[in-house]
Amino acid sequence: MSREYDIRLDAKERKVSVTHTPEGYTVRVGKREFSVTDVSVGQGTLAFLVNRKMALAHVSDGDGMLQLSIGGRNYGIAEEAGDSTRMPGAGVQGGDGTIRSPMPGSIVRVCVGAGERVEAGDPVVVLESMKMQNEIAAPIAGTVVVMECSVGQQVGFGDMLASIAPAGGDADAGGDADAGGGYSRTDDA
Amino acid sequence: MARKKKDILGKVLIANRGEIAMRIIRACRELNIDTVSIFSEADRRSLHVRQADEAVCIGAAPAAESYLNVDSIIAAARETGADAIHPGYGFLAENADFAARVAGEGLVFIGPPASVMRAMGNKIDARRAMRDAGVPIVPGSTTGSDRVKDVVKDALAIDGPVMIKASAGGGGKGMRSVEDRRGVESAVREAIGEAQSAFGDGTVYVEKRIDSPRHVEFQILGDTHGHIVHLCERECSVQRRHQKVLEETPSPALTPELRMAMGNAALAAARAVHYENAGTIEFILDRDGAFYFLEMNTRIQVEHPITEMTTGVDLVQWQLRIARGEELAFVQEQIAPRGHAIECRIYAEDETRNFVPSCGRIDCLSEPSGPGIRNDSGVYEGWEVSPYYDPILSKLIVLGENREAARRRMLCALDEYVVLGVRTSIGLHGRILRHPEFISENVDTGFIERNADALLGGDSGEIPDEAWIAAALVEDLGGVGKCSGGSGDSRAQRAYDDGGAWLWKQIGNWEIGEQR
Repeated sequence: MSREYDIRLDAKERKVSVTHTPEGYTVRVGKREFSVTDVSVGQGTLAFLVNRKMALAHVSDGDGMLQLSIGGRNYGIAEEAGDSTRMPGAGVQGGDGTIRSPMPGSIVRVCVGAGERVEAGDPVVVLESMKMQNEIAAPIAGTVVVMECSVGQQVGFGDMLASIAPAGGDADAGGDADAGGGYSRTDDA
Repeated sequence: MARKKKDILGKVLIANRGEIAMRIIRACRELNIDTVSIFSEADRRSLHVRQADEAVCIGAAPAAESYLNVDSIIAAARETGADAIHPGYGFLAENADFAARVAGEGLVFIGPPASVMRAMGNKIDARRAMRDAGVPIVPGSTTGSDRVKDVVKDALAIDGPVMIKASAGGGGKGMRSVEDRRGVESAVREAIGEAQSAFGDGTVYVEKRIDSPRHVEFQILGDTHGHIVHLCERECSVQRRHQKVLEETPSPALTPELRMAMGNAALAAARAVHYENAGTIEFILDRDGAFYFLEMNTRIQVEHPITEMTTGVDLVQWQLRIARGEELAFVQEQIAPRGHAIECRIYAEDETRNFVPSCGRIDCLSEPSGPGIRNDSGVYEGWEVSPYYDPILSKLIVLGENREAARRRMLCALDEYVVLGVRTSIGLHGRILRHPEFISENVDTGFIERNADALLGGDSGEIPDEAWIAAALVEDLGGVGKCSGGSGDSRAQRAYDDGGAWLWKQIGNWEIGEQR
């Protein structure tokens, strides 16, 4: 009995097939084949021998998000390309001009109002989280259509803060390479 | 100053949280002192609450209503009959008014007297005192303000890039670097706002920025009988946005002569204010070997464990022993550090996204152990990292025979350290320790920014075969069970539709639940 999986680890994707054998498994990663034996499953751990080499993995499943730690490195796992494999803290600023909160915190300053024009990288709000003030910048140039937050408001991860309509077509959007992150903790450029 | 009799410390209230509260609880326990933890509503399930002898809720989640709430903390001390308060670091640790209030209430403040904290805890006063004591200081203002206009004026009076710093500051809070005139006003405004929120005092001052120096600090211990010693240096040059990331001792930059000169300057600084208890004199060290007093921290430092590892002196125990009036049991000549120690601060944050804090539940936690490895942790598996406080999870410390041995030991320990559920700085530390500049001892405060591409890009490179195999097996098995602190219904409980009987035999206590 052999089964094939489209596995995605972080941004990379591979076809991996798993065949049960009397000794354990034969696992095919791309074109390479491995004999996997001595599989043991513990509380969130998976240990196995690959061609006599020991491997120990830790696995967790918080908030429906499967994560794997092996060889000192962490990965988000998704089966099949369509699954979301978002690790905590993954990107939240839409290229379309929506600005979402990158972390829970409270709004300490609102720098622009609805109807105002902003350039990519302009501060939109200042969010305080873990005692640090974090400037949330406009991801694109354009006009602020909605400000969804106000000073003193508590916001959660991914909450909508503001929305910006792109200025005059696509020309402005790619102007500032640094604006992509839309997030900076301090000003010390 | 009449200080405490020997048996006066029967019960200590710890006005802090996280790993440092745990550190203090352990020191108290070893000295047969009872402990009281305080906690905010957000910290009800925190480790320091569970480990103390007593625990008192002192307010709502925001620090201003709990860990900075002096009235509430004093009331908790009264209620529990505590004799003393240990402030840890951060929060009220360097607030002289708090120290004075504690003393005024007839309690022992574990730290220097309020008068010393006033002289040294306020960075501006400290600069003046050091200048008068003949200790070299960084050029800049010797007055401060919380008015944007005044500070901007001071900043513009200095030629070239400047640093805006919180007078009550530490740990990079309320600090901004300004490259040119255009950014001055917003930087000053942010620094004041952040200082106000972090310390309850928005006063900031201006210093000339010295680019890419090394940051070298000296540990001080002073007793209440006039004895002061230093316990050598810590090199804290690996920083990001003025916050220390990794520290080591001894500093690779110090010759024995320079160590002697800086140690003597540190002693002069401490003596100038009749220092008592544990403190740290921070210097910046320029490339030419010139050093300047940066500030004095009148508290236990985050990075104190590396000094403990090399000197064998338990600094937190000594804080308690000094507070109960004991004399130091050693003199300067007896301080003889051995080996090399490194500390990695393990933060819940994502260095690939501008160090954004990473909140959430710690779904899986497996901590390293072994010879020469120490992990000062304030968290446990299943605990939730909240957005309200500093996102430090633990400090991983190693001791090796020399720098290279310590470096390798740390790399092995980091590989063993598994945290799932939140992003951490574990991967970043591995990249720092493997970086050629770190290996060749060529580290200054610009190290991380200069090497951002190599250090802050996350894990890159080929994903090893074992990872693909493990991921496929996890899918095939329908999960591998939860970590011990896990929630009830993960996919762990799901069985798979074939091969189950075989696996059942292989692994013994695997439970088969519903069919997939």
